[in-house]
Amino acid sequence: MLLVVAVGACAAGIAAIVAPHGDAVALVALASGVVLGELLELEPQHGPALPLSHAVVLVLAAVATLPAFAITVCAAQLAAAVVRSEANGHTRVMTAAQRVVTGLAAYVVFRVTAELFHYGNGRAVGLLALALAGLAQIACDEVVFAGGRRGLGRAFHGWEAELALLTSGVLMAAGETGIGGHGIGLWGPLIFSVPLLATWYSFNRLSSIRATYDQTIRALSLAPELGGLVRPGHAERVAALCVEIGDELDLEPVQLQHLETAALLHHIGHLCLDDAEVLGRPADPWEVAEAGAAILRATEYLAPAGDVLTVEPIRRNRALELVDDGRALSGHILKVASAFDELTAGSPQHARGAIEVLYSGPGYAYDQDVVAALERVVSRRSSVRA
Amino acid sequence: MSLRRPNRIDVMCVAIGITALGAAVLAARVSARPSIVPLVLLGTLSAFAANQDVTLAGTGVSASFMITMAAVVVFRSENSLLGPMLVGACGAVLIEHFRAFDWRKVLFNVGNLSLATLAAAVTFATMPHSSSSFVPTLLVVSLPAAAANSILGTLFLTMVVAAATGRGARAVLADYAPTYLHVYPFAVLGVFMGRLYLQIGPASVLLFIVPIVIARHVFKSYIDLKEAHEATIRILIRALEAKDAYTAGHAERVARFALYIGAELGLSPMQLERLRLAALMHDVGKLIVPNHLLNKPGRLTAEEFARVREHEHVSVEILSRIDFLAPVAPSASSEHARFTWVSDKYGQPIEPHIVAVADAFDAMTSTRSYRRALTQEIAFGELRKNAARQFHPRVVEALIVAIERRGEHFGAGYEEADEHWATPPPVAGTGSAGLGDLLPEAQRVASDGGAA
Repeated sequence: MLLVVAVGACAAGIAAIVAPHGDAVALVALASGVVLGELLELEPQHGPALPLSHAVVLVLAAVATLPAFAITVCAAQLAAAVVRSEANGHTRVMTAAQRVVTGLAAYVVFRVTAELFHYGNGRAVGLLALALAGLAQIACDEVVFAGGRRGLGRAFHGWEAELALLTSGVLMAAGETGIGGHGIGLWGPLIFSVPLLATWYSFNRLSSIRATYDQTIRALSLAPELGGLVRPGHAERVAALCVEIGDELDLEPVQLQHLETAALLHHIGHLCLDDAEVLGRPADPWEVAEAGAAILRATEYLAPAGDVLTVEPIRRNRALELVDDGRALSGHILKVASAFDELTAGSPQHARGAIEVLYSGPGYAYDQDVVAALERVVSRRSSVRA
Repeated sequence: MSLRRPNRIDVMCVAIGITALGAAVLAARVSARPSIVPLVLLGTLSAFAANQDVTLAGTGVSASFMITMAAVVVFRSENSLLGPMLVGACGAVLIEHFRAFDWRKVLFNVGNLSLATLAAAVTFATMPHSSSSFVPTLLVVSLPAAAANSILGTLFLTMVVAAATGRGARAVLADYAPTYLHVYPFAVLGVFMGRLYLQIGPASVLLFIVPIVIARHVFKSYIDLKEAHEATIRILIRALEAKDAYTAGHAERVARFALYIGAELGLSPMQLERLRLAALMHDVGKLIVPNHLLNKPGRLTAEEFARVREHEHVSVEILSRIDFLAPVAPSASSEHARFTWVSDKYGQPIEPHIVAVADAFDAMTSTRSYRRALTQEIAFGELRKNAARQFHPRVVEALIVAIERRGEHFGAGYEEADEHWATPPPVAGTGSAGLGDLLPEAQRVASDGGAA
């Protein structure tokens, strides 16, 4: 951490010397803040990660002249690119460039807004300009840069993180400048970063427990294959396929999550049944499902996934679907995906034949709508591969 | 229950209520009227914050304390003492007290907090430079006000709680002591929030509160998901125990002993949490062992033993897929956890040794299908005998010290389920937890011979 601050401070020190106008100490301090902020990110579940540096850049936009702003942001981003831990060289440079562009966009929006409304109430205009600049940062990040990769539909999904970052950025900038009044200088961003840091802490805890939870379910899904009951990778492949089919059939995110859990753990019940050699016959799939569901239903969090396992193999009851929040449909998807994986043995060459078998199977065993969705998913996958 | 005691508390509550009312009337006469907008805004916020069940960063300080301090600063500028009093009173309005028709508590809390806030406001107003914009000055002058607030509030609270519970005032005061220092950072934050309000108006409150509300909401999701994770692990343990009736409660007890040892060895809270989860899940691989082998009465054949033994690899494989537990994944393997001076020297994680000792201790002190539990003394003796060969010596001592200090007893004579045994408990120990018991006879003799 000390190293980070040192690098940031050096870079900004140069910036401060080069910058024609501007308070060197403030620029150095804020540049260090930007570097630190680059290392701390808010990671919402549905949406790209947002660096806390956005808030510091907003403060910088409010206090610096354009050359000072540009040089400080560039220097800080270069320093951040050096200390950034995870990515390769190319990604580091691209991220730094992207952040500089985002920062400049915020600066331009801030100045233009302030100019446009210069005859208005100073306080309100100041706040409006800061808010719009913050919005410009997030929009730039989510729509222009992340949008290309993730599709525009996903932009602004992590609205809680965005709102927290936006309000904190404005708060920190307002604390620094006082917006036309007597600001408290660098103390402002320092003191008023507390709510943002609290938000970061919460997001950090949440994303780490989410990862642990997800990994726990995935690790457990390995048990049947380590016990030699199913082909290696069966649970992961079925889960991935289920999520794609479920997406195709418009399941809600929560329902997709239950479906994925059910798919990962759909053989777990097998482990609790007696051995084939003791039973004198292979375990009945229905027994396996019931045993698995009994395990999952022991906790309210996994109970919906347990219900998915025990959906009766009859034609889907459309009236029921309205009340069962997608569990019946999820159950049919799981059956189709699991059968498909067993028929293809995990290899794409057998996909065509497997789908035909599923189509020609008795209608009450495999839901035809689901098989049609599977066919679309499979053809999309093969076109991606080709 | 005598009638005198509740009466005295009634009198105290009413007295505080009347004093507060008198002080409010006086404050309204000697100082200016508060303006409406900040009064409504801060009052609502204060009441809202007080009714949230989560306190700031788990310190026991309510967020309404911060808002009260902001009110002190805001109303200082208009020389109003009534304003902060009212905001402070709002922070005492708890919906649960109204729901329970507990008027006494409402009266006391409103009276107490408004008087405490008044003390803070008066202190702040008498401080020189209290409207300074120089930050260090502001930091210094806000401290006496915060102190006045928390001291007066605690004083009345201590009096009433001491009277109500019949405990000494000093003992009650000691309960609140940990929060004394925590209030100052929040008080300072509140003072700066008030200062910002004076500069940029009501918007400042919104800017300040929105991230805090979001942080709280996200933190709640974190708590929920943590519970879900915990529940998932519990049902998994239940599934394991359903396979093997004799291990009921084993995982929970191993986790408990592991925590005893971990605390004794001074592990950090994060390490303890990791240790707890690893201990709970150390037998997870048993899921793949066929039921009839786990429940087979008597000794296993060498072939069956090898099959049972496979579960350790599966446990390690499963734990190592979870990033949080991966560093301690060898906890699930008795081979990896075998102590050698070499492994100790190279800074291997200590958690596998802890789980191994906890596992062995519980295996020895609980009853199996073919033998009764050992007594605690014999189990300790076995652990000590095998310390530095099989078990980590420091870990063994830590467990013994921890259990003896707590004065707890496990093993024969202290079983949870009281069964009558025709035979006395065995006096010789078995090696490694559970699996030692499962060793085929021939191999046992060989390994015992080798060790000796």
